[in-house]
Amino acid sequence: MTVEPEPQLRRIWADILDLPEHDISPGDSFLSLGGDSVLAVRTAALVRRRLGVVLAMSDIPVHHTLADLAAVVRERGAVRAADVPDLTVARRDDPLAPFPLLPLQQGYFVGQQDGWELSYESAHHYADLGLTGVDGDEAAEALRDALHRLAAHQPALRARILPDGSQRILDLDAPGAIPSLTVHDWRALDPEEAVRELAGLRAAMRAHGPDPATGPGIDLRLSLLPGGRGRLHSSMSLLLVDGWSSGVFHRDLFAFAADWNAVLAPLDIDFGDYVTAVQRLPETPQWQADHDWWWQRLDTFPQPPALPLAAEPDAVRADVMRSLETRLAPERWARVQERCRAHGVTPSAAALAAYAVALARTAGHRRFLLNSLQLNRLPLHPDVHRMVGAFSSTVLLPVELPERASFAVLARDLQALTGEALAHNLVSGVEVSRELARRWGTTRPVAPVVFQSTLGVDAAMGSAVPEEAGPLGRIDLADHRQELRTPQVAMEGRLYEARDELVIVLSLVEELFHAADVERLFATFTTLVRSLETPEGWESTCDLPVALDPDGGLRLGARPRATTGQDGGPPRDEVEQAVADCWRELLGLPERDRLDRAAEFFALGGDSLVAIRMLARLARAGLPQVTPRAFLAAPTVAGLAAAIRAKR
Amino acid sequence: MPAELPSRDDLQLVRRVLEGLPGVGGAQVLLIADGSEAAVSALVSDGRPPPEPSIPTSPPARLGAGGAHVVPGCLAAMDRAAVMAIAHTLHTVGSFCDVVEEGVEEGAEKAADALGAVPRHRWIVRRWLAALASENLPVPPSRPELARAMRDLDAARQELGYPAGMGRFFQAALRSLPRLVRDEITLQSLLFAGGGTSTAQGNYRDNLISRHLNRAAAEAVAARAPARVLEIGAGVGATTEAVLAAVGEVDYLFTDVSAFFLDAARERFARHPGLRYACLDINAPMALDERPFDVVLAANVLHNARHAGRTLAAIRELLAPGGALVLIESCVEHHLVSASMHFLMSPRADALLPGFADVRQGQDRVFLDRAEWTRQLAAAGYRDVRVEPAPDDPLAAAGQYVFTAARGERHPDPAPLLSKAAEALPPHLAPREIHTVDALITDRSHRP
Repeated sequence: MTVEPEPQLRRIWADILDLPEHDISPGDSFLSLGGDSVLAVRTAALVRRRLGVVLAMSDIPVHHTLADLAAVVRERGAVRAADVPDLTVARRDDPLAPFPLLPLQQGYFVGQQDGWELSYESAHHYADLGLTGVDGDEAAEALRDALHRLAAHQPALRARILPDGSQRILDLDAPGAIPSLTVHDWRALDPEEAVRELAGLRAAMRAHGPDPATGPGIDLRLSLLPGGRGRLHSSMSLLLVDGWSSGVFHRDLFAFAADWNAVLAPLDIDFGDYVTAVQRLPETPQWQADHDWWWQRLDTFPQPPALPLAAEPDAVRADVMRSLETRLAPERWARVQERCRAHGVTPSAAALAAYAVALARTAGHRRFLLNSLQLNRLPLHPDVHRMVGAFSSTVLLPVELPERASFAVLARDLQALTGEALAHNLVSGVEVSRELARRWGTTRPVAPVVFQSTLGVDAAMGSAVPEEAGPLGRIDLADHRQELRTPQVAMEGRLYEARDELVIVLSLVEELFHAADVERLFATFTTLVRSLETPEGWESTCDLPVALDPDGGLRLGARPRATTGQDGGPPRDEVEQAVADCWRELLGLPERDRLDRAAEFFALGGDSLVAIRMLARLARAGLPQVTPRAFLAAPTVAGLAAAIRAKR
Repeated sequence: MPAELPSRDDLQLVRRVLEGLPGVGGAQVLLIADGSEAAVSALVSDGRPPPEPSIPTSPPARLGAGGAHVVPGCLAAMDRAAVMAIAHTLHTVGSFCDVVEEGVEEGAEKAADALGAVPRHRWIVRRWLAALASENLPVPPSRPELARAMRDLDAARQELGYPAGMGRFFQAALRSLPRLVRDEITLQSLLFAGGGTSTAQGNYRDNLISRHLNRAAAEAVAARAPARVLEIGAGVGATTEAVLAAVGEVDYLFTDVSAFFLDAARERFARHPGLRYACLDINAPMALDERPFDVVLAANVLHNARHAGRTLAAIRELLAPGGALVLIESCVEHHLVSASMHFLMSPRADALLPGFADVRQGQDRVFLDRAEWTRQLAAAGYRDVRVEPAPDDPLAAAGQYVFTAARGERHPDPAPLLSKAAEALPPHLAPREIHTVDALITDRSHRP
């Protein structure tokens, strides 16, 4: 940046906090001036709009002063971002009408259909919180009442996914619209029995999440334990509720539970209104610029890290995710954060670097494709950050680590890479992945190794959840467990904060990997993060494999499998003709083009969501139902026709 | 510079002057608003005994078909929730026991102070304590009882056909009582959230009770085969819609005191020929530059009249011979109304003439009951008053009635009285208007 950012930042704070500029001194924290986490997010939006600089969630904690913010903006200022397009979000005429899924919602929807590699039953986020001093008799009613009010206040909690891959919001009065609360009263049990029941409940809720195709997208339970203790368990379908929303949900729920008189300012728009507005994104020049940026680079993108496998992904039922976890005590975490600040790097970027090094050493090469989950709420309306919904998206990160460099250099490089990718986030990672898969000619997940950090988000939300909530007693946010289950993911590195501790988690599909490899990877990852407390951790050179790209063996990858070739030519019988006609209609292909029987569905422009619709349509027309798994084995006109014939 | 309001003595003087004029048996004098000033209005009767009320030739039709049997139970649940919310509100400021310990008057003073209630809403706090005294609630409700009551309220609301927005409105109002009573938020902001009228539509049109009453009112209007209809206080146009569907071609003047509703109606009824719009205030001189009307319709508005008898008389003068007034009114002060809609009725802090000037004066109430309206209509010069539903109809539990009353014929022209009074009185006391009526309803608190 050539221009000193402080004057513009002061103007931004003045606008957001509704204060005269001269009342803001460089040493005042945002919080002390009346700011909160939601306003901080709006600050980031304005910084992007007025200075063209992209800030991460963890760049804008509420205790930051104006001077801190200026320092961060100066550091991040290298990359100029396109402005947010000028789309208005307005109330739809019919709030109950169906609307499309956003790209990541589509990804989850498809991932829950049997047949795609690494798919399984449900994508959901599970968390439970400790409560002490619970009024056992009142707590359940207070929670039910709070949930009822919350379902009225947040329409997305009443959403359902429809079989054709669209979604809609139920009327408040519709049966099943208001999620119910399940109470487990274990107050009369022996402590050991209660512990056993609790473990059982946790295991059950971790394994099976709510299905928004058939019921509410959230499953809320209250367990009452001996000694005035309790736990609040929430399981939320990622199809409808993203990470930020989980925080909004809990904050609003506790506000309602704590105060019978609480009435939250109504939301002017709902998730359906937002989705309807962003359908017009592709018409905007900013989206087109981001589209071009990604499409120009895709041919240079590497494969995912070629981690050695214990089994073929296709043969594995990804029911069981194993998680390894470690925590950094508050003082150590504070020191790590300080070091990160000193090196001009966010803790998320540093953690990403540690994860990347661990992956490189395990896979034996330095260049690979990672996937990262991002909040992606476009600031098109002041209510966007107060809403529950599934706004999150992914972003692809084509990582290339230098062979010999200090950790500090590595971390800064990755931070710049992430910043660049995020500066072009109007096109979602899901859409980019689809195009990449098309170019590689594959139907396998192109980026099944994921990194996710919710560090800034948790801090933002943590400051908003109260310490106590009426009959629910005291809420212990430190006593909080999280489980995230996402389909089409082989391995995920995740960071979050629980009050003042850092939690590092590695989740993976257990059957895919050798236990020894996993443990080594986790150890490298966490040791590296811990070493960031010391200057040596940053300055010492990271030893990395020489090879840029992998060599052979049973490894994670996205290269298409060899498929049995098909002879070309026109459709040979009525089944092939029926398939060809269906594809022509769904894909909008011109009438006069002859559809060849060897034509491949995804090469013609189809994607996974349309594939599911296509299979359903053929089944409705009376042909035998073919599973996605069978279809993907040979996704051509002739191949599908053969699969249909085989079922007769 | 606003002139001082005429005093009680001034009004007594006017009355004596009027009662001295030939043909005047009795007079009642009151103040009305005329622009930003106050003006003198008078009712005069000729002293003859009022006509015998005529007995309707057929009993009123039963309105209570079509599901109305649920009304009493649903309303009871809704009122119970309101009482719980009121009790909880008082309890949060330590005033729950005030009604028992201090009685309603004293208790209300203490409670209003504890709540920080603004002066214009204190009458509502008095109603709350009276409500609590009448319901048997020995202890403040627990959270579970409150939550259950709220759920029952919503279930009742659904059963009566009020849309979800109405449910949210009631919930928000009951939970916001402390803020409402301190004027930190207005009821309008809850009712017209986002500047829309959909919640208000829910209250006046889209529910079982309103549907029955609007249909009855529409039939009453249509039965008179009118050529010209005047609607007063038409608001969101809920009754208007029903009436327009029932009458054929008609010249329909849609009026309200607020331009907001006129604008909304212009849009809503854009495709209706024959609809015209005008501002009309029932508490100001009601002179319209119009030919007389065959029917005047007033749905849920006349309780806003400062003096019911005077407004009824003024309306009568707008009717053509053989014309009728069709009136929908609430005649029961439900607890839920005391915890919501009544906030709309509190006098504005800057009101020139706050409060009622008729029998309701100083009584902390808004509605006249069924018998009172019947009596007021007869006294104001109407005959053949019909009321629906019958008292034993389940719909009657809602306490809302449709009154149909025909214009009486025996009233002398007040013009000569006006000029004679103007000769005998100073200009600021000369009556702006005089209405001739059949009888004067007075009570101790009112007599000037």
